[in-house]
Amino acid sequence: MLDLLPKVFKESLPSAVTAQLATEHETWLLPPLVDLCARLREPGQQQHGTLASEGKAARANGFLHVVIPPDTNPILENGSLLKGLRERALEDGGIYLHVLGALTAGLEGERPSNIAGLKKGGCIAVSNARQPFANDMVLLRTLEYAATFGMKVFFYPDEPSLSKGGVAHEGYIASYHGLQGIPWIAETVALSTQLLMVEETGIAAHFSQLSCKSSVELMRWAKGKNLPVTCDVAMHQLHLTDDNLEGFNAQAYVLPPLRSNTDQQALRRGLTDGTIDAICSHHEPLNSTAKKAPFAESTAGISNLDTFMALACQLVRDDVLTVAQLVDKICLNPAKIAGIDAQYESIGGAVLVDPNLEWQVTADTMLSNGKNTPFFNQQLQGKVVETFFG
Amino acid sequence: MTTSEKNSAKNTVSPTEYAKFDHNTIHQKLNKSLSRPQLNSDGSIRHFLGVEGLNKAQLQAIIAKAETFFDDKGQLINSPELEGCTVMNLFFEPSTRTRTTFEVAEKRLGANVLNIDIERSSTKKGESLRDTLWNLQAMTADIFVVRHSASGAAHFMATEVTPDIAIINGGDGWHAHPTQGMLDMLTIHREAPRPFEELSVAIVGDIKHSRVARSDISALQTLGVKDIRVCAPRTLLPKGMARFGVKVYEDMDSCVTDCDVIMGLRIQNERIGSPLLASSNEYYKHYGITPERVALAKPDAIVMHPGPMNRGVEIASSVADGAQSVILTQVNNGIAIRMAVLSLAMEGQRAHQAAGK
Repeated sequence: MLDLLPKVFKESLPSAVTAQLATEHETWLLPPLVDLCARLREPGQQQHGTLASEGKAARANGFLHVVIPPDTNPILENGSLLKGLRERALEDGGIYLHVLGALTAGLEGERPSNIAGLKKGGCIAVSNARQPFANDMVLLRTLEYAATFGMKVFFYPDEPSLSKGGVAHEGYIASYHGLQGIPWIAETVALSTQLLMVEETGIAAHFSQLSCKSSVELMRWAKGKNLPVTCDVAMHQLHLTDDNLEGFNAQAYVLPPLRSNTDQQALRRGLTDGTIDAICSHHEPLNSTAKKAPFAESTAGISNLDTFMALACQLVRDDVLTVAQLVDKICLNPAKIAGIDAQYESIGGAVLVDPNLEWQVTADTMLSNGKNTPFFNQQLQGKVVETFFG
Repeated sequence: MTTSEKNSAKNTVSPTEYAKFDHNTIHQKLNKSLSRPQLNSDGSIRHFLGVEGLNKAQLQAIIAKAETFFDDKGQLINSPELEGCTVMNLFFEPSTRTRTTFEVAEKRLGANVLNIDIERSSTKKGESLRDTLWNLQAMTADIFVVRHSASGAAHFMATEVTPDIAIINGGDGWHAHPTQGMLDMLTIHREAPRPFEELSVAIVGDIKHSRVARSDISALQTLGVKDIRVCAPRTLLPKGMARFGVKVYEDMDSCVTDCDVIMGLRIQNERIGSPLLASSNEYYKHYGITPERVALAKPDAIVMHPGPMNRGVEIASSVADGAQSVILTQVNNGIAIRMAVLSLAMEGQRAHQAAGK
């Protein structure tokens, strides 16, 4: 299992660990995990989680590096705010925080933000999160402006005129429950436009949390054209479908919505064949009252850090990925996509995983402040048993 | 080929599509999840949240109970089964017909009735539905009749209230309107020319936004109707409609040919967020329940509509007021069904409380 670790990570391990590994039964020693999208709820939403609580949950579950989107309160568009956040994430939560700055001022989609300043402040890339652009010309010109400063853009593709008001994948399950649907084209229409803009501007782009079969096909096309693009999928999309909404299960309410079995299979194939580069947690912790409302009036989000590794182990058991491919998807590729390879390698570390360890998802076994998960009370298999982070 | 066969062949959405899916298995699974909170361990009704998941005997029991509220001349009677009980009508969205018929039913059963106008009260001040509910239950009541714009609201409330309160769903979002569904079943039981098992039922109109359609389809299936047809332009059909186990039509003439029951649905303009129809005139031309279309159905077919009707859009006035219309009978039956559901839910609550003691 030591072979899975890059040289620098092997060298950073205490010799006691390598000796211990020789006697361990079927454990995996992985490099530290890198999460391309988690919401740690600071600043502005500390009722759901804090850098301290979510940082500790991330660290205990193998994540040493976490990327956060800019849709906090206040919005991440001020270089001086970022430094303090990163410092507190390390001090209080023990994790390295990497920030996406706002692509447009106030995320309002009207004009570019202070992108040069954000780069100087240490943002790894810029993004408009799931907020819309006023029109395609704004998007085009904003991308040109970002390209000027060599900034990468993270997209969360969604066409609001198609998704507005929707709370579930538009299909039989939503229809049966009388829930307003979000058609898959809400994602792919936006993705198509954004890919063409990338082709036009030449900007490097990452597309996060893809959920549809057609999105995978579009990414395959874009990569075939050698566009500078990468993409990820949220871990829950690989294990859940809209069937999990059964009985108005608000714990399965997430945006983009859980989609059909066909979509899920396509996402898994995309992961296997390399079209999808990475898996993110899309961690969204919520307090106990956020889901205490009728489905559509509850708050969207799943708390994912604590269940992430068990679901990753399941992908290996399901023959979707080998352990080495898994390391690429949750450790090495995300580090490259975030542009933090050098820092990642210099910090080093390692994560010991028991892929066979069975455990139950309960309030006690979840470290995140958010206990909002459709896996609550389920028995899962696979867990991080130790992290070797400096 | 007969006219009917030719018309059937015109279906633009293949009715065979639904056959690909084992809708019985899927429905059983989904129905079970939705019915779980509403039954006591002995199968009696504790809350009345939807018809999904209730079996044929349970639906027949509701119909039979409703029948007991008619005298020999077919007039509604009073029955003091809820004397000493308090019923709160919690309407989070506007309603006249449903709220009034519930109130009449409650008073005919001797209940103390409180109408809480939540639409203009605490929720407008930012209070969560959960807190509103907890405050109301602190005022003590036996039954909450609830209407809410969010699908699943009644199910949510059933999980939040104390065990001493029964929830009756007076309509939730696009999801369910189970007392309307059951009054439609009572009407068909009393007025249709044939038993449920032999009927062909056409449901036409805005199915996508209709909670009535979902409850009707579920109840009709449970009561044994094998030929359920739905018809609407694609913009008013929910995605995956064929998987409900119904035949989907886009051609109205084909849909109503040789059927026993034509159920019209209101176009829910207030729920439609984007332009789904070209014009009222075009809709009426292609999907209106006209005398000519009623003539395509069996000669003794009945015409139903949950109201309020848009005359000249969904239905011709001559049909609405005609000999085959049972629309006003539906309203009258609605009181009997609501009396039955209130009575059975109270009975179920008492059984639940007795079992607890």
